[in-house]
Amino acid sequence: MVGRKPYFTAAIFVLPALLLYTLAFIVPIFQTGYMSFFSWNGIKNVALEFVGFQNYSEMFQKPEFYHALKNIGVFILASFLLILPAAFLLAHIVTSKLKGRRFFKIAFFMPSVLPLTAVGLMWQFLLKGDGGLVNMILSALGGSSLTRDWLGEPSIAIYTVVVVNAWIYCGLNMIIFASGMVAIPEQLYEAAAMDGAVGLKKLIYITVPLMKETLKIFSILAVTQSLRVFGQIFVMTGGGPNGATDVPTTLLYYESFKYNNFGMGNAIGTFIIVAALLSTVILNKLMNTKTIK
Amino acid sequence: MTIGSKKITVYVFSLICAAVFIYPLLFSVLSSFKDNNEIYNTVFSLPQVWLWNNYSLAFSTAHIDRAVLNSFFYAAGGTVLTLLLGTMTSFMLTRFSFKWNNTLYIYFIMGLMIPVYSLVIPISRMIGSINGFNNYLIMIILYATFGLPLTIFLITGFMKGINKEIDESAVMDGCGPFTLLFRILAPLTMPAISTAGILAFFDIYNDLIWNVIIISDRNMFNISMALMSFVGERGSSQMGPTFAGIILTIIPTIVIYLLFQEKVESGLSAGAVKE
Repeated sequence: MVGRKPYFTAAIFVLPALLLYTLAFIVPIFQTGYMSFFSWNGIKNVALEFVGFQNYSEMFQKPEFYHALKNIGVFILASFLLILPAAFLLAHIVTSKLKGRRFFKIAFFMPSVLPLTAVGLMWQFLLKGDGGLVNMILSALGGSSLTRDWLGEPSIAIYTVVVVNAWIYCGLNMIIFASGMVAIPEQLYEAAAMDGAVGLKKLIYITVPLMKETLKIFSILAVTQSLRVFGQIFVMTGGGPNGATDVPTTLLYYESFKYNNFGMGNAIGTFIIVAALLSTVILNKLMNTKTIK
Repeated sequence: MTIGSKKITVYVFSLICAAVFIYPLLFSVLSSFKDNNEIYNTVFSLPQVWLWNNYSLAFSTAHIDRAVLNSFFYAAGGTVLTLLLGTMTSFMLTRFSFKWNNTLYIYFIMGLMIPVYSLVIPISRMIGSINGFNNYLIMIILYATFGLPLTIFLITGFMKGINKEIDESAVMDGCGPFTLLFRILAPLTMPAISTAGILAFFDIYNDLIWNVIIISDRNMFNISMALMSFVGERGSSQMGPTFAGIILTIIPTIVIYLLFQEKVESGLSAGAVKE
């Protein structure tokens, strides 16, 4: 097989995938870019109208757009401040010799396998201002003054969504950390214990440095996955109240499929594509140079 | 602190964490058997009367049964197609030595970097131009296509590591390329194929955006659309049936997870890491 170069056989194996992928994935990428210079109301028979950079100048003048960028920032920050420590701690629990760790692992991981829509709707009800479970628990614990309409108040809605997002994806990140942790040889800890490293010292001097690779992967994920947030917002708040929880993906959806402003939608789409490509390439570069050092 | 008390602290902490993740689900299960009055007023107790009727309402008005079947159908079809096409492509990429093989590989992998949400407008336009809305086959093809980059990435990576001497002796024994791939290499690649399959299956089963954009026929709604439209129409006026619907859609994923625990855990995290 190798070296004989039978073009025909090779084509049979690769062409179906290549054609579909090119047609339904690669071509649309360029179409998003191309159509971002046109105005279109979404009706099939209406021609596209060339408007140059107008969609972009409108996009960059929209306060909602900057709001959406800020919200992505909140998601990225929360990945490091919330998901990272929590997932790390949970990973520590499930890789320890604790009895029943299998049960804990399943419990922690469970939310990651559930359909996002179902989980989002569930939390929407649990977080309701009147009669929601979260407020009930707060009242029962004597914190009635803390109760509020968690998803309805513009100033806190995005933070609520981010916490729910952490609840969903903590378990997945726990598995990623756990696989990094079990790769650390037991002897290292034993040797360190002999030198007097216990508890927190063990964590700082052995676990964290040896998990550098895992932490790098996590950092790249934190950024790239935050750009892909859609369902959480779409299901729980619909971008509301008053656009307070919009992210670029939901903004794209509402601009085009709700307000029929498809030109603007494509401008946002192009922005997402460029941001995703740049952040992936730059982050990978950054992380690699650190390894060489 | 003695060893014993330290252990207890860890246990208590772990149990609290487990409760944080599991209690909301248990609460939803209990609420799915209550009426609005009970959901609001007797939050922490068991239902006084178990309202199985909520579940029949979820079936009869939200058609959750149909939606779960649809989601399974999309997921099964999309997964089989993406695995078939992906395995064939990986075979070509690892077993034929063309000089543009690596370029082709990168071309396929590039898709991993692009959030598909940015493509909804051209894709819905394309599907409109072929009158392809509300079509099972088109949905399955679309899902399979979006699964290709990750599938090819996972399977190619694994297949590369399989010793080429195996194929050489198979070819010597008169094995054609199709027999070689499907009879000999594919079984050896099963670990990667099953990981890719689990990922694709969960992705498609849980899909939201493509069903929103492309499906408007109620009979073809997947779980996401069925739940969303049910809540949109009834919302908080009938929370019991809504919770029943939510529970019905998550049960299949819980069952699959409990059946293939380790595989699902490693599979889903492998998918996350590679994206």
